Amino acid sequence: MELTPDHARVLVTMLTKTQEHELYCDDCLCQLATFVEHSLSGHSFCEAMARIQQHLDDCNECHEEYEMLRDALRALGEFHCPDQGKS
Amino acid sequence: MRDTALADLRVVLLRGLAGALGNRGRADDAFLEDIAQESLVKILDHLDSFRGQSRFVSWAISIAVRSAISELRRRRWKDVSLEGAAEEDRASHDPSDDPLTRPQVLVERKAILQLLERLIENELTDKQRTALRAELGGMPLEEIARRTGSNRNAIYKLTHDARKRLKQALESAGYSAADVCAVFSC
Repeated sequence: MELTPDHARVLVTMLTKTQEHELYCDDCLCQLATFVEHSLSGHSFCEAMARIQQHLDDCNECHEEYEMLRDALRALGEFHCPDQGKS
Repeated sequence: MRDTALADLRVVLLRGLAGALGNRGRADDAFLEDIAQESLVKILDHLDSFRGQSRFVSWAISIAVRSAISELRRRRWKDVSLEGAAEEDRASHDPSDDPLTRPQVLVERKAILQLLERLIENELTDKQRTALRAELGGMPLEEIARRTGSNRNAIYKLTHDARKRLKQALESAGYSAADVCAVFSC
């Protein structure tokens, strides 16, 4: 397969962010609801949550799920976020 | 009383799903209802797994969102093979997109592209290569897993191992990922 410049750009961006030890999707997703609650409430993150953030920076799929869960909880008015503009 | 609670939960799920999907223009009312019903069954089946780390509603909505997004991805990619994912993405790329790129940069990019292709071919296992190429073509890990009889978590691990190998091989060839990023304006 011939790589396009776009493929290379995506690949190299991924490589730049690659860590030796990363959280995998299962561990991220089982804590995602708690993570979204933290982010919507403006609470500071503990280390476990910071690792979730790192995984979300690396995994487009989990990040999309995070955004949708965040939007769903906002729609329910479950949280009063001090900064609605944050992603 | 249980029926009332389930009816209330159904309403909550529908509102949450509408909030998550509505402004993305990806779902109609029938789809939302199907997902809400499917999610109610999953929630009841997995009640024992709710640990109270988040609110119950957050946990329930997360199950509904996962069901919805999984189904949307399945529909989007159902006619695309693993090999087709990379080819489909390649077909949409126009080499003349950036007419202002200096010739020297184009030469550097070509050299690095060839190096990356060589590393992907030589450094990765067949499974890693296949998964990574499909991922570069935009195919979700869940869909890659579906086609390979695996699961999303295992595919993430597979591609993580592949990325670590490529990063190391790139550095052995004298390039840092950051340097290469600069050439491609990442």
